Amino acid sequence: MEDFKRILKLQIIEALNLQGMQPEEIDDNGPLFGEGLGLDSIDSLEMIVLMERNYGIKIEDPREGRKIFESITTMAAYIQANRKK
Amino acid sequence: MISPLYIRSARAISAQESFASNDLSKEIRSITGNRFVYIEPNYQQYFTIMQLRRMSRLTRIGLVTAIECLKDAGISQPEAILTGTGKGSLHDTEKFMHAIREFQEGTLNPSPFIQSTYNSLNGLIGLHHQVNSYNTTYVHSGFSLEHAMLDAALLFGDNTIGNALIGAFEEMTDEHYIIKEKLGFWKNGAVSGEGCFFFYAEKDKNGSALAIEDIKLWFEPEENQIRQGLEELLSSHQIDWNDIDVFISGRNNDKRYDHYYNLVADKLPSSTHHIHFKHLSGEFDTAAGFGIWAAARMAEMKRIFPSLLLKEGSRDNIKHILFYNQYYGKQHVVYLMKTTA
Repeated sequence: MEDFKRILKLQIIEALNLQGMQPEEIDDNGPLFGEGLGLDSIDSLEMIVLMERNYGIKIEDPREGRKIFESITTMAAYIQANRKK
Repeated sequence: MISPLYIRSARAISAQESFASNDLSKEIRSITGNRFVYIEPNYQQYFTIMQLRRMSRLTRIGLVTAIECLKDAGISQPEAILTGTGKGSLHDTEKFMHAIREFQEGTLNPSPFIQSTYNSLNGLIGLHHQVNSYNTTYVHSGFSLEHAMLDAALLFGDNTIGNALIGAFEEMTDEHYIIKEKLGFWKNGAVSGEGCFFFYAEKDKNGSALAIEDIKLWFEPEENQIRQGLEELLSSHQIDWNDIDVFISGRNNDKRYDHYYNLVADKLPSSTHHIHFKHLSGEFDTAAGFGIWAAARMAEMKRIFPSLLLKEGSRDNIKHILFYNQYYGKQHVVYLMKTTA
């Protein structure tokens, strides 16, 4: 799981164009949106695209997305449980 | 006749070392292949990682150029932001279009779409400087920058605003270079270019070194129309050909269009300095911005950049500057400028 979280962080850094940021700088359990990493609504759309393209997961309910994208830990767990590729 | 635009500050990011020094005196950067590529500044001193993630290659240089231009003028909030671009952020446009094709119009990344829109730079400048007043981008090929200038002049003329940030920005990509190559843009000696230019202009003279006194535009004109239009322009300002101290031309090494510039050059006395600039900037829709930046800086520094001289005249005092640029025979632009110092 720890290796997968690192891969996920690298994918997020690339998808969100966070140039110069290292995976170690993202807290596994810290909030991704608002305080913490400080992502916003456009980033959430980028993450939805990332989930669909990389793992075949479609998130259509925004309320569901809010829970999934709470932290790297919640996101990694959801992907592992629902991935289609 | 327009309401004059008094240029208080000018900044350029180009393929030359024009940005950090705001000068063209240093060693001239040679070209690589048939493309001039602009020199990017260090963005880290301007933006955080979180800010940079939402900025494309073009909007980054655009915002940095605008920041420094306003800083030079000591202004934090201009009354209007007016820009012109022929193609806008091509990198993001291509990225978005490739994604449409690759993912068969499915779920697409929003960022390249947002950044590909022509007015994204204006929005960023407005956000950065907290300016929510008049904000417009003109996309009219070789007339783009000129429409931004004209808009400012109109707003000055009816006293809607007293100052404006005016600019132009352009980038070239590998794919777009090939498309233009197939259309014949480079086959006769013209070199591709890109760059970003910003000017802070005021309605009143207040310490400016250069005024844009008039602008004329013609689309696919006959030579006679240009000749007549220039005569009318000069006489409306009570000057004649002998009063022109510097002629700045948009010659781009493509001999098919030299006759337009010769039309003006042949009218001028031998004492007039003849300057060109596309051998340092390359050709693109808004390349005139590089020439206007050079004119503003030369007026401020009271000297002509030797690297721009095509034919040296004998005039010591520079007062009247005539600027003529055309874009592949279609859009023809004339600026009449005057030094004010």
